[in-house]
Amino acid sequence: MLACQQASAVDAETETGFTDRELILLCQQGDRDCFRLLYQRYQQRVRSTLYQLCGSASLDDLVQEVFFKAWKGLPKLKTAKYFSTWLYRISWNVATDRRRKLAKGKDRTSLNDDKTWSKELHSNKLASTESTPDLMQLHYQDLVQRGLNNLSFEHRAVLVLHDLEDLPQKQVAEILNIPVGTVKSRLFHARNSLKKFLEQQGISL
Amino acid sequence: MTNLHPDRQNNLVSFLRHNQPVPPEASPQLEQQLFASLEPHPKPRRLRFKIAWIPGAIATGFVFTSISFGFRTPRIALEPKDLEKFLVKNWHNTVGHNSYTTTENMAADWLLPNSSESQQPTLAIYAQ
Repeated sequence: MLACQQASAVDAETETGFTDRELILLCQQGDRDCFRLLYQRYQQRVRSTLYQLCGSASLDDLVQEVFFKAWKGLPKLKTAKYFSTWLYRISWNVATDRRRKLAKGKDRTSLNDDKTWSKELHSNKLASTESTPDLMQLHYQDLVQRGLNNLSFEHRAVLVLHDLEDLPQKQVAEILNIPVGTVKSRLFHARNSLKKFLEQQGISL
Repeated sequence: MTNLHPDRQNNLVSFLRHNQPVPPEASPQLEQQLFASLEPHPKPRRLRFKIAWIPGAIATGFVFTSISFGFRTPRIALEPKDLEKFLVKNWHNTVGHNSYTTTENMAADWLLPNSSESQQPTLAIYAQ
């Protein structure tokens, strides 16, 4: 506990006092302060991934669930260097479970929220900005999200993890527990589908 | 399906990254709620087992050792007076009449008869 407090005191913003590996080893011994540092390092990536897979509905709950499972499972993590891949895997599992619940109709309000997320985006952004570049980017973001929604969940996951989260194909294969060849194939089809959608919306690349 | 030229692939990926959807801000209470719900990690079973086992093993060993020590080791008198009595008694037993008689009989069994036929007793000391 004291070690992490020292790390926090040294550099609270950039958290450069400890490497991921050191934090993970301390977390495995029950150090919550070190887990808080890990959370602050990774929460944005997890949040972004979950948002692109599941939309904004119950996003806070999903993020909380991912890190709760990470804390619980940390003592069983054998190699600290796989923490990032392992955390993405948990995110993927949480997103998959969420999708299954939506498919079964257990949470119809969330399903509706997914379909109207673009309305939320528009209303939140338009209220605060009037400049054209921001509106254009808002429009493009809307198109990208709609394009992602058009993909199958498996294709979307590969595209999000590889192209948007910038993970190598090998790591994507480990996260999704599929062969690298399958990652390549899905990525190829996902990109083609998305490009066609964007072209239909008037975006030429 | 149309194959994407590498340049067009790069353009697509670049466009996606530049315009990727931004998630809404997290609730200010999210972090606090999360850490309030975390349970402490359970201690490793192997370690707890070892710690619980050690006092029991020590106690068992002590009892066992005490019992064995008590059975094997004869009680010895601690007082010098008692020790002296013990030694004197054993000495007399060693050189006493009973022992003498036994020795004489044994000599008669395996020694050739002596021509003088002396009945002089043979002194024998047995180590006990």
